[in-house]
Amino acid sequence: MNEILNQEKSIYLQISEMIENDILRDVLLEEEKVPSTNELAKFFKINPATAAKGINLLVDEGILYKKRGIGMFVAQGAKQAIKNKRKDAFYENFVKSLLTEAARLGIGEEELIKMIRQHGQQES
Amino acid sequence: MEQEETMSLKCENIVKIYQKKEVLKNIDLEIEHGKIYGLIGRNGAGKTTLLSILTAQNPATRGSVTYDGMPVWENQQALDHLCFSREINAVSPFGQNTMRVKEYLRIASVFYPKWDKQMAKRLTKLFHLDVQKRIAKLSKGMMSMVTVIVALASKADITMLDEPVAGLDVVAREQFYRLVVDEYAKTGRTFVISTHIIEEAADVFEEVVILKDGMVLCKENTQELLERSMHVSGNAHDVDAVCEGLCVYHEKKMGRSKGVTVVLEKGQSLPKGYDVTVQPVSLQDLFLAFCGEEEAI
Amino acid sequence: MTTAGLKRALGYFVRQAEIYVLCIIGGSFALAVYMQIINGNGIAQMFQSVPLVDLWISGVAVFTIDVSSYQYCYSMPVSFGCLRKHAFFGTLAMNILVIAQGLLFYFLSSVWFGSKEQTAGEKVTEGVLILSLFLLLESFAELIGIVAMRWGKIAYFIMIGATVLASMSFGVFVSLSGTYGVMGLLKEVLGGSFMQTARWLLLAVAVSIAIHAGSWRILKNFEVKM
Repeated sequence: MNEILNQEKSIYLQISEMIENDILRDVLLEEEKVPSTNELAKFFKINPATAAKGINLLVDEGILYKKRGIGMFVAQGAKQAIKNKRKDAFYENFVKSLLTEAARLGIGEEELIKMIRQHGQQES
Repeated sequence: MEQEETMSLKCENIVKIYQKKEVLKNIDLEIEHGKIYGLIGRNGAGKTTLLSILTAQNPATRGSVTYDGMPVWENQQALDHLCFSREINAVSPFGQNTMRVKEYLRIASVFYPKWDKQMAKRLTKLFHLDVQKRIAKLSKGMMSMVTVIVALASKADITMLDEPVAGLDVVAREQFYRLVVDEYAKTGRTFVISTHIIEEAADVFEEVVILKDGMVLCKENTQELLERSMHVSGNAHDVDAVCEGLCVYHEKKMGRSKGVTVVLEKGQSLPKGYDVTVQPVSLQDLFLAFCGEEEAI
Repeated sequence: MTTAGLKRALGYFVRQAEIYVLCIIGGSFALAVYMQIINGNGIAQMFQSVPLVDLWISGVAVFTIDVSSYQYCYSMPVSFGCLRKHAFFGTLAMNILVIAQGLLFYFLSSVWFGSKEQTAGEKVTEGVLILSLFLLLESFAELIGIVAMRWGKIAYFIMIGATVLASMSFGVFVSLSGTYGVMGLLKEVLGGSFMQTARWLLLAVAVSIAIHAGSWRILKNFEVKM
């Protein structure tokens, strides 16, 4: 939650991603209460409507749910849902630009796969 | 709270002429309840004049200002819902302003029907303001703080602030934004904030009004405006091809490369397949694109 | 709804008026005692010149208040949402209160500390003439204040010159009164008959109304400039 906002993406998207990251990192556990829109707004010095938009996005996706009069909570199975969602978007968010840049530099498919195998082993 | 939601401050065809010069030209604006608005524009664009006219502190040469349908001019019922906290001057036409801050706040408390004394006290403490000090002896930063205290403690439904952060250091500015967001979150009061320091405040503004040469250049939800604006750069040929038929601002050239700010209309999109870099723009970048002047070089 | 705004405005202006009056009364005592000490008179006559000093200080006060009222009587209240007509009416009420109480104090102090024997008729005539003078003074100050506000810097200097002139005239008036007595001086300059007195009052009231009406015309569209 303590990430800094930048101007690369719409603020509300950054808010929802931040919350997702926290869920993935177990900073926010399932069935735990998420900071309110007002708390978020005050913390990041943004308009509460923007914070609300970020939270509502996650509610629409079933990652958060609302308990009337109390606040927003992390839904059961949210962690898995986020992983699935990001897996689906993995190509668009990461692979596409990788392929474009590789093409620009003349790096062929074989070379790319070699790179992944080599460094993938090192990382894990 | 419910009835307040339909009350808005509207101005129609506002024209203001000072000594044969049109300072405001046919301004139509509606300030809706429950939003934080940013009013940005260059010096002399007419921001202070507009805010002044909206709160009946300045008569428009032509046009009308209404609150909830009632004219605002000399109308106590309307004015009771409004507040325009403007910069106080250390020196007035008749010499130094020798009033103490305490007295200034006291007079404010007399005239604002919803004045919150506790809040004024709390903010004075927060800002470490010495209320016994005379206005003439205040630094620019402290004067800004007094303006902020009046604006917040007035508890007016629609509160306008003219350059509230001028003179405040970055720490105090952060405090200010937090205070406004907090107050807005608690009460849903409408704020209209004019400022030069755009980027810090951009995230706080739900809607932004850009004033240029006395006219409203655009009034839009900040997010939506930024989502349809982008910076396109790369080889000049490619950039031109991509931007054909689109609204383009602030072209910058260097050698064979070119960078432009593009603002898409509804339904428009950038054609794909060109090797250009597309980046989001900040509100400040956009403002510079709209209102900046071309360099002499 | 309108009455609430008017009440607020009056609350502000009446409070201001009373503060001025207290200053006038306090100042009269202080200055009178000071003058007596300088002149080396005895303690018994300590407060003798209070009435005249009061007249002088009231005059200066009324003049200064009116001339510089732009900032504190119009700019500030209107910038806080006060209606222009309430600010105008409030300023008027404030001036009237200051004049009335200044004069009241003059009469009370002349009874307590003065050594004059006057008939009821003389008292009334004196009162009416002084009132007329004050109304004219207030109108004159209002005129200068409005001119200064409207036409700026040059008028500002005229204002300073006028203040000096006014203070000096009043000073002269006071010292001459000391010699002839206020009544005597007024009789000399203005004439003491009923008709003359009435005429002076009518003139003062007429001038006052005219200048204030003109003043309102200008203040109707007053722009706040802090």
